[in-house]
Amino acid sequence: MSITVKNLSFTYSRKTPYEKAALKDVDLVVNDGDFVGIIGHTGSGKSTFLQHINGLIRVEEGEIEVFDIRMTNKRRPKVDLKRLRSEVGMVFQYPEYQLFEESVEKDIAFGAKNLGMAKEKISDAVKEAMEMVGLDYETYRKRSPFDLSGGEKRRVAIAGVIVMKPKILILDEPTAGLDPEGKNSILTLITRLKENFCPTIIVVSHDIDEITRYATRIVVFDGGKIAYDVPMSELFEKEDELRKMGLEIPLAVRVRNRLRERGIDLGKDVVNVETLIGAAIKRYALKDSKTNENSGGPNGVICGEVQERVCIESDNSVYIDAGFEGGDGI
Amino acid sequence: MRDMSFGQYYPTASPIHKLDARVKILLSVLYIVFIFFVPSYVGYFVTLLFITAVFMIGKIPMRAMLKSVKGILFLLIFMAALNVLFYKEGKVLVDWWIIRITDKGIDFAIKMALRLLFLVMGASVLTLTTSPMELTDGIESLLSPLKLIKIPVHDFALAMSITLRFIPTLMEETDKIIMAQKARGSSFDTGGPIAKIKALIPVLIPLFTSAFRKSYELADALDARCYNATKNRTRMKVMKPTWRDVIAFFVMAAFITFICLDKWYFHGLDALLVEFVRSII
Repeated sequence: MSITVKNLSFTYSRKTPYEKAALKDVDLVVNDGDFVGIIGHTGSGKSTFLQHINGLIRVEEGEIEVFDIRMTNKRRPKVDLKRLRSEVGMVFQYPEYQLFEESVEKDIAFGAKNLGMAKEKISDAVKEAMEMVGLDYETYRKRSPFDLSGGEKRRVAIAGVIVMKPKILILDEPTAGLDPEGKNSILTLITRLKENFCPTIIVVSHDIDEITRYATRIVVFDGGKIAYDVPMSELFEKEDELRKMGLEIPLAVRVRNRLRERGIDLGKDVVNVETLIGAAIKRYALKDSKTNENSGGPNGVICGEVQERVCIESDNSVYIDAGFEGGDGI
Repeated sequence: MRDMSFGQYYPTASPIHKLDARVKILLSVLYIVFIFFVPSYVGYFVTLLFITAVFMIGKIPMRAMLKSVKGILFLLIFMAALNVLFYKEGKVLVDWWIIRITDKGIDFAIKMALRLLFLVMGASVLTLTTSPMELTDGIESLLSPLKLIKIPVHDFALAMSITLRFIPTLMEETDKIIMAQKARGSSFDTGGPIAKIKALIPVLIPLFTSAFRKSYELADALDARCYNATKNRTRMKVMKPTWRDVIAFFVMAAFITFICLDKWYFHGLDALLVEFVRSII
């Protein structure tokens, strides 16, 4: 178990008119190798929760265990924060909050230097981190981090954290404010990091479609509590409850539900586009090959019985279209 | 967010909160001026009663008051010490090396410290009970006669309200930056003073770049809406003095009258008090 959180509670500005309970009695276990997606409305306590895991907020009530590092509200024994932060890397939403050095190389080296790595090791680690996030070492090392594009800045910010070689990586809204292409490449980067670098990843996101494409587990925060920590297929059955929390269910699940209303059941396991396609193929593969001449495209599936057509494009976007004019990817 | 100390607005409903901001500013200025005329310990005692009553009517908790005083504690002690050590007049009590402590020196040091203490308490009543917006509107309104001599009062007021508006935003941002750098292993409370100052660089640079970015964005946003400080802008909240303000004026007038009597009529009530106590004994 990577992270164990027990009865964690926290209140901001205690005993002032601004007092606000941010966390109430939160329990969570994150296992090695989990890819956890955390969703929740603004102010649901998710950021406060993550800051606790990295020791950025002192525990007020309850306890947290990260590997063998224990954090409680007692001041002794002292928590080894340096070690904690080298085990848990945390990437904040805005890269602008952490970039300050004159060159990309120096900025990325900051974390490694703080951990007291040897000089030769630092430059190796920086090189490795830059390659990991897809920034060419020679091209970027001398550039100023302030002159980079939004996506590049984010890569530098991620490199600046993984240079400390954490086993758990936490990312707060890693794709916020990026264009679709930038989003995709950051998400691909995160999956690559999980495979090769940090086995356990926690991602906070507002975009449920995005997060279900990658995460293996979804935790829903609401009002400072964990509202749901159940398998995704079960979670997305609770469309109304989630909507009350200001959250949507993934598009793929909505498509599944619309089809179900019309008598086409694609089964329980639909949580994202991939599983939707999978379920559709399973159901229609046989019929498809003999009845429909116009099915095409790499992921194309046609749902023969409905008036509306469900279009699943090869780039994983899904839409329902009543008057679709044939072509690729029906 | 971290707790902000000195003089933060304390939102609650109290007669003092409801006073017109302009009245509060004027009364605070009067109070601060007349604090310097208080001649006697009796006078300071009355001032203490007065300011405590104001705090109580304003429903400001002791904690907020003490917090505002804590900020100047060091200055108070430092000043008092200098006064005690280097005041030359009066009967000498201790004379050693370059230090000469006199009775008048001690008297002066205590009075000066009390003055400063009550001054800060009075000023913090203003900031604790008046929201920054009200405060700027009040100042703008009070300075509006200067418009006659072509001083851009509204522009100043706008700059001031923007400054006040962005203090909490930048505080929050500082918190986030500190967290982001802490997450990268930097520590702010270890090492000597030079190491501590160096540790601030990774916080200050992102903070300033962000402040610049925000100011450009805000300037663009103002421009895009054709904002300029035209003469006849109306306000959402129009300030109107009420009966409360009249009462406040009279209460302050009574306090000032007392100080004036104490100083120029009785020439310090302490001597009278001492005589009075003696006559009883």
